[in-house]
Amino acid sequence: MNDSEVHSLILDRVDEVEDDDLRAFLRGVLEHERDILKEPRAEYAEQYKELVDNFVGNESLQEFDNE
Amino acid sequence: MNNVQIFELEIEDYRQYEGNQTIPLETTSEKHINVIEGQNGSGKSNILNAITLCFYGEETHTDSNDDEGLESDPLVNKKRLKELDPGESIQGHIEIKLGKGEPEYAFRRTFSTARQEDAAEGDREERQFNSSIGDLRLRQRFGGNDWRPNPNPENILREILPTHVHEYFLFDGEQLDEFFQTGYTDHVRAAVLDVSHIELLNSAVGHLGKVQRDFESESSELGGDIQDLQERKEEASQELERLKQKRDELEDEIDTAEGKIDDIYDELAGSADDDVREMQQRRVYLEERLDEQEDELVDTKEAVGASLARAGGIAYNADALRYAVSELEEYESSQNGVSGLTEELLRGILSRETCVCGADLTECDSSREHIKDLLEEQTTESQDAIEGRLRMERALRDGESLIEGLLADLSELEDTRTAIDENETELANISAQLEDEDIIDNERAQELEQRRRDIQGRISKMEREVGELNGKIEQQEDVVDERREEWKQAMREQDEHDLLVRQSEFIDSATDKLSEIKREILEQVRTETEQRLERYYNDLIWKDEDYEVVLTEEYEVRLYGPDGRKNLGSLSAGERQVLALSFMAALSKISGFSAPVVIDTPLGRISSEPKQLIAQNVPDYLNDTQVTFLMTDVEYSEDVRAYISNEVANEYHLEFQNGVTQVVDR
Repeated sequence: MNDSEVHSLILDRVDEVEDDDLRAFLRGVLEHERDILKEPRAEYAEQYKELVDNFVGNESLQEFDNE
Repeated sequence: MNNVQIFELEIEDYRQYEGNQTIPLETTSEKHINVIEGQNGSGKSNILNAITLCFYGEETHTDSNDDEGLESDPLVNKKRLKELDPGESIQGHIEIKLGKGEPEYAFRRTFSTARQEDAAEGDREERQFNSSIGDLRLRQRFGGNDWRPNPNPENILREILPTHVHEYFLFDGEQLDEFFQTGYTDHVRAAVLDVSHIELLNSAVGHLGKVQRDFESESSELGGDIQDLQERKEEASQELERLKQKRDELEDEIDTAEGKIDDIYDELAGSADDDVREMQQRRVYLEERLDEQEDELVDTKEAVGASLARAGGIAYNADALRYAVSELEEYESSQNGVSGLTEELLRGILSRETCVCGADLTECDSSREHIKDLLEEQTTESQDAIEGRLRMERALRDGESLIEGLLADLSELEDTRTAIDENETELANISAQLEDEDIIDNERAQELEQRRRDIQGRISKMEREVGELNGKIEQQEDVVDERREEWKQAMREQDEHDLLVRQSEFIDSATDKLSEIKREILEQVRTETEQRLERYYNDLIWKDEDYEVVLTEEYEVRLYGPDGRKNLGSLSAGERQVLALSFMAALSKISGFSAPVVIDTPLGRISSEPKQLIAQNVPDYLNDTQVTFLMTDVEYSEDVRAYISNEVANEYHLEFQNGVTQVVDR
């Protein structure tokens, strides 16, 4: 165990998420949260928006329309 | 040894330790225990303090009973301080070499004590001196004797043993029995949250919520109905936040008020007045019992509901069933399916091949077939009737036992309600007696009781408000969901909003998943803690009986022995210490860190014989972990020493003379 890592209790469950995009997004968010846990004013919003854009960008629009 | 261990502890001019003293502590997998033994006051606790001061800039062991305790003492050795003139200072340090196979890191923290410029000889010590501590420094080893500074000591320490879990590795055994005193469930809850990294999940959910709102607010720039709907949704969200904030504030106020009641309880429990003390003890017992009874009431109500569901159908229809059974019995005895035509008569006609009317059946196939059909019909009806009767009789029999069960459950429910009423009455009496100056001649107790009653009244009022707020929050959550749905619907109608909707929904899925993970982890850690706690407690406790330990969803620890539940308040200090020791061991395992363990006075509250068992078993479940025991000479008896001698790597004695401690080989 290493405190700069996310606890395996959490990661093991994230790894069980079937949706690849959601799984990768959750990992990205948790790793960032781990880095900033003790910094209440740390920046996260832009990073998360960028992450969301990566997984749900314009290329996904077609997929949405087909639903 | 695969786990991180302390190779060396270097102390210079810290408290009793004058000059520079180095304590080698290297252990192996087979010999993983260090023992540092010394009389009370010789500086054992300051070994633990030296470690936590170096790593975290704080001392773990402070004497809370003494206003002029350790924290008010100067950090630098007092003998050295005598050399100081006003305005001068002396510096000391603590250095800890750590690593797995060999020393890899040397953490060092300096501290200094200065003599105040305006200090006079007669001044009290804490007014003469002023201590301060420096930053944590780190040197890293790159082979051989090549040590170089590392600019990130805090990061490296965080990887080895972060602040939030260190108290499960570095702790004072003697203070452990206090762990399970009034209000302990908050500590247990906090500890479980600590090791589960729930803070991380909470923070992620909070941040994602904010990002989601940012995304959604972008839609308001697009104009039209969407803007109105977004504003309505945002208003509802803000109202929800306001309600939640109000509820959180009230819950904080309740916690604070409960803390005040705990303080009042502590003071009443420690009263010099025997009557007051006894009443307080009785009250704590009754309140614990009341909690249990309220749980029992919930369980019994559930049992009554289940019994009612099972027995109800039969109970309501019993008369009808009995009537049907008697009718069928009558029918069977008469075998009277079709008037005048019994099964026996039909069989006789077929066997004689002559009908009652005289017709010869050998010459009339249609008549023969008709008689056969009548016989078959008659037989089937009889069988169906018998089967139906048997089923009804069985149902009536089962019903009787189900009704008996229901009545027993109802009686238990009534008994529990009566017991609760009795307890509540007795609690009210205790309160009234404590306040009655004719009964208790103790002004302080009366004042405390009055204050307790006021606070309790406020708590009850706030709890009602929290209940109402929770109701409003639920309703408001529905409003938010509804408005979000309206907003989404409108968004879907406009292609340019589709992307934002998808992004918002993606964050929704992420938030839901994280919340689900949080629930699962809390349950897993609670269950795992419960299992380890039970295993360690049974391993360590000196009694032959088997104990069941339950950690409830409210983080209450319940202990069940062969005679039923044992109140934690009725445990001896030694038993409470063992329970807390088991809890610490469970949490250190679950935390996932493999750091060294240092326990000050591990057997402090344990009487002689059980010490051997504990000394023998503690190192077993901390196998492959370096364990350093700081023991008094009484704790480290010859028996205890014999039990653990095969696993001891280093043994030291603290030689305390003239206010100065020397660490010597034992």
